[in-house]
Amino acid sequence: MHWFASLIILLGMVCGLMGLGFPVAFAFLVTDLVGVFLFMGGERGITQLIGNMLSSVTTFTLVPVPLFILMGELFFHTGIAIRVFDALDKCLGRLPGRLSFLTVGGGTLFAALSGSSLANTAMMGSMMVPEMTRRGYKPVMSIGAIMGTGGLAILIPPSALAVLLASLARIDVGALLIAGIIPGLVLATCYVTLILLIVRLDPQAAPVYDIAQVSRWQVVRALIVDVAPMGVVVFLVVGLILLGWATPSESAAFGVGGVLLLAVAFRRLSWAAIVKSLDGTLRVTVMTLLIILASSTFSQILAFSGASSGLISWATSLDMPPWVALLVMYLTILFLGCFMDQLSIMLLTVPIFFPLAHVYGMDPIWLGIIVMMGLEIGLTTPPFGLLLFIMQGVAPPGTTFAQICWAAAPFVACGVFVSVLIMVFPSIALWLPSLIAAP
Amino acid sequence: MRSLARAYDWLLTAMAVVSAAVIGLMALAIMFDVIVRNIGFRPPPHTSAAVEFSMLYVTLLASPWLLRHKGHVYIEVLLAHVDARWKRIFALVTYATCFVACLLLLYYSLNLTLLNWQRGGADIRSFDMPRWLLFAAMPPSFLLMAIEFGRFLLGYDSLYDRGPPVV
Repeated sequence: MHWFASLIILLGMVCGLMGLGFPVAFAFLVTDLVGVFLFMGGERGITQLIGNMLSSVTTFTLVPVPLFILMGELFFHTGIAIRVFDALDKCLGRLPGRLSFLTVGGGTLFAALSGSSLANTAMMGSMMVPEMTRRGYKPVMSIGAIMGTGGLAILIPPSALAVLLASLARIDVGALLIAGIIPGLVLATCYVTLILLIVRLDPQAAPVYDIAQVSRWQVVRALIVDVAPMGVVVFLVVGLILLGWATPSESAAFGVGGVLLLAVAFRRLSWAAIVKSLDGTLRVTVMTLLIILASSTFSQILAFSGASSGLISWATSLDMPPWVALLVMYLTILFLGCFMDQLSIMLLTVPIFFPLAHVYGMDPIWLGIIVMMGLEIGLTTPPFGLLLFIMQGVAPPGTTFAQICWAAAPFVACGVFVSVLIMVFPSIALWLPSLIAAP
Repeated sequence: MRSLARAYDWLLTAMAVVSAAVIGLMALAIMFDVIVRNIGFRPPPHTSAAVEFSMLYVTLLASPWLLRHKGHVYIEVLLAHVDARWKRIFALVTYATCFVACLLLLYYSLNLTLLNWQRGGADIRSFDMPRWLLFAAMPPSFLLMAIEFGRFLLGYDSLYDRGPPVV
């Protein structure tokens, strides 16, 4: 069979089944079953499929996925997140747009303590939107800022999605996690600049209001007692990897331990919090790992049928400069982000993009960060941006879906701007990982 | 019949509780391993392999429970734009296809479990795990998922309803 026909059958089938409403894991499973019959020798192919399913999840590389999610769940359910938010709130004084800055500051810190964009956005949305609406903030300054900041959890470690991407693309998990730090912080800085600009151009976008006076001592105390201890957790996750003392899986376990210790120290640990956290972790972990298990053979069938190599030969025969190839990959991710969830996009594109990048001599960590930037933007692009739906659930009554999309637009533009910066200046992503590699 | 349904529901929940507990134990085991190693003692040699095998069991044990609780992600972009009749047709196609896929995987994974049990091979990592024990995680999981898709197909519940599962 010609590689193009194989590609159309496999990609068309998996996309078609997803479109019909198949659970993503089962769309891949059914495509795999048909694919192994067509391309891998019928029944022998099914044996291979089951063997692949076993080996796909029995790997230490994927261990950070449940542990990063558990860390974030404990952080929210023990109430530590609210403590941190309250402490940061005390620091901002009567600043114009203070609640938007609080959202970006708190959200960036949450991104460094939780591996889930959805959890971050849901928590900030339910906490901040009612207050922002009451204070007369325009949607771009309230729901826009929350959605933009929520996406930072994809980039800033601990990021469950980065672990999955590294595992699928077979690149160094630790390096990819660390590589996300500077782009994440650059993106947060862009959001702060955007908010400053909006407040300057339209002061009514975030009206100034009186707040209770807080003494300098109270601010310092809040920072020392409630915010500084979070540094321990950040060190346990990022510091241990950066220093080379622990693998990402081990640092993830210490991240869980760190949050548990903080919860004990703040007297916020309860059985109810542990049970809720484990329940939330189980739901996301099992959903994710079943998709990984089901899709493990998909990339093999793509390769075995000649579709991957055919596509790569065709793409390289076009004699595109590498930057055009990179742009095409990035735009593909942005396009798919309008319709699909982040994991499905990765499963469809990684088996094609990373071998192609290898042919073009691109750094896989750099490409990984650009892919993650595209995935982060995809969280807020209509019609299927997951954060748009979460925000619709917490936005004030009467807020239309279109208003939510327009509120997110300036933050999406920031994401595209930072992606272009990383494409032009790869060291934004590659400098920190180069420190791990250095002796 | 009602008590059978309750027992079945209890079984799925119990499998999920075991999976959740295993995730917690994985975190504790890894921390213990690293701490013991760094204070100069020899850590238990089985931790990493046990954690790796646990990932498979966590996934397969809790998948039927997650399916019952409609937790497996799907894409709504097309479903949101078709009328109720087409939505029902799409749903039936989905349930029937997934039901058959689960039965096929049940059949082949059961065969592989029995074959590996007879042959006695092992997955060699830091300890030797009998291969049949790895394959054995699959048949019950696919059987229970087939039952769940069967329930959806017979109209006892819908995968696309956001509410709690119908027992």
